[in-house]
Amino acid sequence: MSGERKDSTSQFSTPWDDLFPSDIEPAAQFYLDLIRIYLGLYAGTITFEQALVEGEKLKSHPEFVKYPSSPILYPINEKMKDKALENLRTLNKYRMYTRDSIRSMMGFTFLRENRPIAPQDLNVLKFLMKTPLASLIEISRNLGITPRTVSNAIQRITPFHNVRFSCLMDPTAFSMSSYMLFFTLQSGVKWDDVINSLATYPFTRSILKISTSDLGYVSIMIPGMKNDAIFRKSVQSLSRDIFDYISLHQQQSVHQTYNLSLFNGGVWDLPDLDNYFFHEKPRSTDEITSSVSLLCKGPRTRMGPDEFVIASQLRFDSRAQPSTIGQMLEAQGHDFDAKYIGQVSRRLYKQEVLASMVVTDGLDLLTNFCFEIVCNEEWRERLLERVSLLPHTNCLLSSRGVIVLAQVPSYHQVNYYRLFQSLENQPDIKSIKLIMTLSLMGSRLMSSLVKYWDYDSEDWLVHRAELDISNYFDDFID
Amino acid sequence: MRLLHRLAIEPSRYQAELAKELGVTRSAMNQVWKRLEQERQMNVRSCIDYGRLGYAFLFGWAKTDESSTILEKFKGWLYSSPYITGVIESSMSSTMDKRILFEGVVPKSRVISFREQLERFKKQPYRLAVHHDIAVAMTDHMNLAQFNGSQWHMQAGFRFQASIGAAKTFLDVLPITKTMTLTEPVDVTSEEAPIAAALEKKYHVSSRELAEWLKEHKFKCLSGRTLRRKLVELRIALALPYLSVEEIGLTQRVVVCVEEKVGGQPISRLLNAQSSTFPRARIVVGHSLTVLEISLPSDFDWLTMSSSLSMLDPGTTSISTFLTQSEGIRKGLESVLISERKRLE
Repeated sequence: MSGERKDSTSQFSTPWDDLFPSDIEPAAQFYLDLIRIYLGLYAGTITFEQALVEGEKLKSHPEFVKYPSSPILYPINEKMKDKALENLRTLNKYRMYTRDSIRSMMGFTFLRENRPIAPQDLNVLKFLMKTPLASLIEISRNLGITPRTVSNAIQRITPFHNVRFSCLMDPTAFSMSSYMLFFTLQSGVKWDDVINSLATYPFTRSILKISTSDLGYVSIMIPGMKNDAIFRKSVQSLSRDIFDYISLHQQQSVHQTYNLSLFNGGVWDLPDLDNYFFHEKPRSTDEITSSVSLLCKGPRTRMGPDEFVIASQLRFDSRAQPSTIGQMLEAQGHDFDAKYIGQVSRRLYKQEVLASMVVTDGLDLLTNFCFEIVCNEEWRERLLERVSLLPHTNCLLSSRGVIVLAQVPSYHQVNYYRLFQSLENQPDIKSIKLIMTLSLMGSRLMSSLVKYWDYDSEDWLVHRAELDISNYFDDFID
Repeated sequence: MRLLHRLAIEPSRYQAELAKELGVTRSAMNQVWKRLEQERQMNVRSCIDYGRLGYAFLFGWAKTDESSTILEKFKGWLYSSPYITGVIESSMSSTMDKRILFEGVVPKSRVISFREQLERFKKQPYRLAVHHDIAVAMTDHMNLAQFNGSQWHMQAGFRFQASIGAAKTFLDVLPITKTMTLTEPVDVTSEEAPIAAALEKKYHVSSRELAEWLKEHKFKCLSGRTLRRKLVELRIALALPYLSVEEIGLTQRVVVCVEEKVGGQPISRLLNAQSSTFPRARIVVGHSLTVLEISLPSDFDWLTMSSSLSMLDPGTTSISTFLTQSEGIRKGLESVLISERKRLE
C-alpha cells in the first residue's frame, strides 16, 4: 500500500506511513501530505522548522488556494492525532482515494472540538483580545497574577482553544486592493472547472464553495491600484457565460469583534437580538470584549515590497519575535535581519497599516455564517455597529454593503439565522445571501506577489493578460 | 431501555411475549409500558397502505427565495385542505430559502384535482417552486443502539460520510427491510378505512378501544367478534408497525428533500437502506421525490451530515436539507375520514 514515495514529504518518516496510500492523483496527494506533516510533528520525526519548509512547498500547489491551511497551525495533541489515524483507516477501509474524499477526510480530521476553558485562562484571553501585543509583565500586573502564570495560560489556550495572534491589514497602503466576489454559476457550468480556473489565477487568496449551497466566493488581491479597472472589467465579462449572479466587493474597511460578556460558565447567553438590532438608539458597547477596525486609507510612504512581505508574515503570528519572523521569511526565500524586521513592524502599526488581533475558534462557536448583505450606507454603518453584539464577527465593508462572517454557538444558530433573515424585509437592504461553512479556512499568504514589484518604477507591474481573470476561463468562453 | 430496544427492532411484539423474553412478570412489564407511555409518550403506531383503502399518499414541498407572504398563502391553503395530514416549515436552510413540506391522504377520485390545485401555485401570482409526487413506499425507523438511556453517542464524522458513500457501490444488493409498499389505490374507498385509521394511531389497539373510537367518531359500529377479526386481518394486510418515543434527547429535526432525475432512484434507495443509521428516520419515497425526516441529538452537526449527503450524487440528483423547529401539522387518516364524513352530513 505504501510504495516508494516520490512526493516532497518523503524527506521524513512517520510511524504510520503504512496508512498512506500511494499512486494517488496529485490533487489528492496534497491533502495526504498535509496530514503526514502533522503526524510527523506529533511523532517528533520532523522539526517545526522542517514542517515550515515542507508547508511552504505545498503552498505552490494549486489545491492550496482551495484549502489554504498549514499543519503547523493545528494543535498537536493526542486526540487530533487519533482522529487523523482513524480517518485514514476509514479511508483505506472504503478505498476512498479520490480528491474529494481525501479532502473531506482532511476537513473532518481538523474540525475543532469544544473544550472547557478555565476561568483564569479566560481572563488572560480576554485581556489579550483587548491588547493582543501586551507583554507578560503588563498582563500579569493588570490581572494580579504572576508572569509565569500568564505564560502558562497562553501556552494552554494556544493549542487547546486554537488561539492565534494575527492582524488586520490595509492592503491599499501598498497600493493593492482586496476584493471578495460572490457568485453563482449559470446552468451547465461545472463548479470543479470554475474552481480550478480560479485557483490558477495568481491573485486569488482563497475560495469557498460548499456542497450544500449554490453560492460561492473568492477573495482576491490585486497589486497596483491602476489595475483595478482591468480586473473589474474582466470579472464583468464572466457574467456572460460563466456566472449567473455576481457581486464584487472592494474592501473599504475591515473589522473584528468578540463579545465575551455573553459567555458565562462555559455557555453562551442569547442577547435580546430583535430589540437591539432594530432599536433606533445605539447601545453602549462597553461590554464588548474586543473591537478591532482598520480603514483602507490608500498608499502610504515607504510601504514597498519588503514591508508587504513582513506585514504578510505578521498576519501569521503577530506576537512572534522578529528573529522568529526572520526564520519563517528565510524559509520563503526572503533575507531580513531581526532588527530591520522590528523597525518595519513598528512602522506598520504606527501608520495603521496593521492592527493586531486575537483569533480563536475554541469557545464552542461551532456554527459559521457568511452573510453577504447588499445595502445602503446607512445600513452598512448600522449593521457594523449592531453585529458587535454577536459572540464573534469579522466584517468587511464595501461600497456595495457588508460581508459578515459570524461564529455563533450551534444551540443558537436558528435564532441568529432568523435575525439575519428578517433583515430581508428592511426597505434599504437589497439582498442577503448566506453561505454556512463547516469551518473557517485561512487564506493564501500573498507575499509571493512581490514578484510583480518593479524596482525601477517603484510600483507594481502586472501584464494585462495576467490580470484579466477571464483568460483563466478560456476553456469555457468562446 | 431493554424494552425500548426490543420494540425498536420488533414493534409488533405484545407485552406478554416481551415479559417472558425479558424475564419479568406481566404485571411488571405492564407497569414499565405504562410509565413509558406517560413519561416518554411511547406508542407503537403503523404505516398504512392507503392504496388498499382507495387513497393515495401525496407528498412534496414548496420553496421560495422571496418574501414569505406567498408561502404563507400556500400554507393557509394547506391548513384548510381536508386531505392534508402533515405540514412542516423550515426554520433554517443552508441556502437561506424558505420551505414547506406537506403530505396528504387523498381519495383516488380526487387525486387529479388535488394535484391541479398544487400546480396552480406554480403560476402567477404565486410562482412558487412546488414539487409533488405520489408515494410508493414509506418507512419509520428507530435505532436506539447509540442511546444509553440519557445520552446519544453519534458522530457525523468522516466514518458516517464514508459508510454512506461506500454503500453506493453495493446499491443493488443493499437490503431494504421494514418498508411499507404503498399499492396503487383501488377504485372505491374502503369501509375498513376507519379501522385502519385506528391502527395507524395505535398498532396494538384492542377491539374494545376500537369500538369506543368508532362510536365516538360516528363511524359504522361492528360486533366485537368482527372487530377482532378485522384487526387481525388488517394488521397483516396493510399495517407496518413502528415505535414512537419522545423525550429521549432527539431535539433536532432535519428534513432532507431529494429529487432524482434518473430512473431507478439510486440515491433514494441508498438513503432508505441507510436509514437505520439514524436514531429516528421517517422516509417517504415517490416516483422521483424522496423525503427523509431525521430526528437527531441536539449536539449533532446537521450541516456536516447535510454536506455528506449532498456529495452523494451532485450530477443527476438535487438534495437539499433544512432544519425545522415547527410543530406544524401531523395528523393521519383519521382526520381525513372525519372531514369526509362531515362533508357528507
